[in-house]
Amino acid sequence: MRMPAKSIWSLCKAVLVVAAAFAMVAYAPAARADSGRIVYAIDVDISNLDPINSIDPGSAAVNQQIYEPLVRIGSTGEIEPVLAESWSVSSDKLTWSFNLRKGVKFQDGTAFDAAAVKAHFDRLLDPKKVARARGAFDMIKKVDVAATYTVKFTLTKPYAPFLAVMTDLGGLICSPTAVKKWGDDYPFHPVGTGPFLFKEWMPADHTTMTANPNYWGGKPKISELVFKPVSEPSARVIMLETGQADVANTIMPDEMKRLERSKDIAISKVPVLRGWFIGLNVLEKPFNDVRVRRALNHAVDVSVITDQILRGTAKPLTAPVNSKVWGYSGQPDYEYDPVKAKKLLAEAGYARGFEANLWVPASGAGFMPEVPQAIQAMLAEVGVKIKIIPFEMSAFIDNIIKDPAESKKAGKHMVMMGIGARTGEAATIMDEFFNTGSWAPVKYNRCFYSNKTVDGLLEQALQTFDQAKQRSILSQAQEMVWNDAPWIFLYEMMGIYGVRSDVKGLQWLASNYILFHTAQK
Amino acid sequence: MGSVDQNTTSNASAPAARSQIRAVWRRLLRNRMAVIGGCVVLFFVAVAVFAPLTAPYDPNKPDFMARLQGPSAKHWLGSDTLGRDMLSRIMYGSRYSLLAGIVSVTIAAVVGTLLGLLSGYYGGWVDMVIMRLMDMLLAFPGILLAIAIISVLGRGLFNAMVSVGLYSVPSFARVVRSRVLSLREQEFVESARAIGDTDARILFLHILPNIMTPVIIMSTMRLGTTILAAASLSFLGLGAQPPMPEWGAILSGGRDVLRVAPHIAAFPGLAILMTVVGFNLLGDGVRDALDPKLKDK
Repeated sequence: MRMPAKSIWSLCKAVLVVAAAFAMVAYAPAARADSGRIVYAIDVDISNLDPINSIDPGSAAVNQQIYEPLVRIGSTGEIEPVLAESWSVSSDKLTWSFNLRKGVKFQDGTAFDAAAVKAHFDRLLDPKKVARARGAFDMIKKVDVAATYTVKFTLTKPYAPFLAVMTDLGGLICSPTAVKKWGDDYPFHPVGTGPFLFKEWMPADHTTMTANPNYWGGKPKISELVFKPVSEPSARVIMLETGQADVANTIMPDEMKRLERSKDIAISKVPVLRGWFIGLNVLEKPFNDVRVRRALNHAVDVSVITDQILRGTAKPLTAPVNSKVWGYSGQPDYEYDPVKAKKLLAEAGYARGFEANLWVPASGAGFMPEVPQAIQAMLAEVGVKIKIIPFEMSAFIDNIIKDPAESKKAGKHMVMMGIGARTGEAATIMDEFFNTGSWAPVKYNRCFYSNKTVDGLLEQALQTFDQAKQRSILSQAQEMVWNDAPWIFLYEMMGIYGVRSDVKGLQWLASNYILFHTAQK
Repeated sequence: MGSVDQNTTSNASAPAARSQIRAVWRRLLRNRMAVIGGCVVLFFVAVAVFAPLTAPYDPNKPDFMARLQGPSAKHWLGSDTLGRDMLSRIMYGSRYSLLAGIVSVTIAAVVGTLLGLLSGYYGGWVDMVIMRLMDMLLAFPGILLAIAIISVLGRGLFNAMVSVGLYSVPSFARVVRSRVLSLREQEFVESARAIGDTDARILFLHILPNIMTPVIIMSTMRLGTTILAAASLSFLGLGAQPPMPEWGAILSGGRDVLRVAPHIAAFPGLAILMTVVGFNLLGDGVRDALDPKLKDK
């Protein structure tokens, strides 16, 4: 028979145990991982290590260490040579030739040459294969070996930002030998030319890589690199503080100040090309009415989100693309005005508002969970009731690349998602998100936005090599999209990283990835 | 299980029943811990009922300029990640959390009692099927079963209540069944059968009143557990959805800022702790008062 007094005592004991556990977590001596081994606590899991299929931020972050592209976007957003040393385009603008770096070997010993590049792109473009990264490369007609170290891309049409396309995730070159050897099992045995060799992938737990001793750019200074997916922001910070992790991404802005006071940890705020928005399906009610879409833009106070919740680590979007992207053209603000929003909603016949779901990723790519909650409260002010539905990242991506019919089946919903930070210039990004030809599942036009004039302008921009002219066409397209408001335009973010102070030499990319080649500990 | 009211049937005289209730009440008031528990429970019930009149702020109205503030004269329990008043949220939260407890226990008690009655009274294959089903449910750790049920029903506070209710069904069913097994052989049941009463009449008019004591005891004692379980589900993001100020959900919203603003997790945690202890003390007291022989053992 349990007596009340006894039960209180057992409860007290339980409380004491919990308190003690908390105290131990808080004051555990920093058990540092061995030197030469860097552990990166990242906000999202890995789903596929074959670049032709990894378009999720977790897999891409690992792939950046194992593989290399021909060209890449550097820390400032400029295109840098990597496996290609130089390139040229033919006078009819239909053929691009890349001269490859000589003396590079894949990690399995296979020589890197034009044949390897051709094999990779042939696999990416093979319509019989599932390749989620293919969409961005659909202007390529064929790839030919011109010489041992010269590869030639023939396009279906002149495509001015082709170089930017080559920086995209699907352009990370795989070893043809390994692809042949492992077949369908290749995603578990990735082999590239990068500074780190794949060692082990335990889904939802860790991915381990070791230094590639034969790397053409010099052997990395650390011997082992471990990516640990940790979706809980506070758990990442605790790992960083206790020394279980050396680097952590997506630090909550609220924790930043406290961490900045610590002598063991440095906070890096990296300007990246990514932005966040809420996509509205313009084919479905009530989002088919532009007044509703504009009303939603007037109902969300983005500067409060960037200044108060994100504590100045973000700034409002002023165009459909990030302001650091080439070709960006700033647009007049949708000023915060709930009265105007209500008026617009009433004009559209939604005087009493409406209800909708808001899909968000549970974690990943710098997503901050408080933002949708703030938006929920702001929209409630104008009578729009939203229910936040979080999805784990790979499920989120599966769900947002559905065609209009599938999307309709999912009911009235909006999607909070990131603008690709991959190509660094406006033409490809605008094409991906706003061209009628880019409707999901082909590319990311998940709003099913369709405007003949915009389509025409984008086609023209993609084929215009004169940069001034291209800029002015892009500017017109941005203005039209901005006014049509298929998105609730939110903010452009910074990558906020916490780094143990004994870790040096990280290279931050504008695409929000870290390169660990030159890292030291 | 011996009991004071074994012979109370629907035909029992009213004055006798009233004097019994008075005796139970007296015994309950003599138990100091039960009185304390009862007061805590009453306090939270009052908070829940009067929240709209007494809460200082709208619980869902954010004030982005006043985020993560500690307790102050303006916000007695501080403000949360969106600058909402914590006191108001916890006051309104008591409505959802208490409701979650009551609804879940009611589901469990009604379904469990019904299954227990059928199983104990009819025996044979009915008993076999129902009890094996109950054993299957019992084989799962409670919260895991609730999570499984939610994955079928979908997220939401109501679904959390249903799932917590369902996983509490077996405990009711087993207690009721064992009680019915002994009751169905009693003379008053046999005589009811002899004068031609239907099974339904016997079950609901003669047997049911006699098993109410353990059901009431179980219900009171389960309330604390179910409130905690519903809060756990909300903490995991499966129960109450934002911005609903359910205690588990408020606590969950505070976990990311635990080191910067510990009060956001601490206060709802404290509210859950107090309510659960309150219900447990009260439950212990109710049991002792209704079933004094149990206490003597």
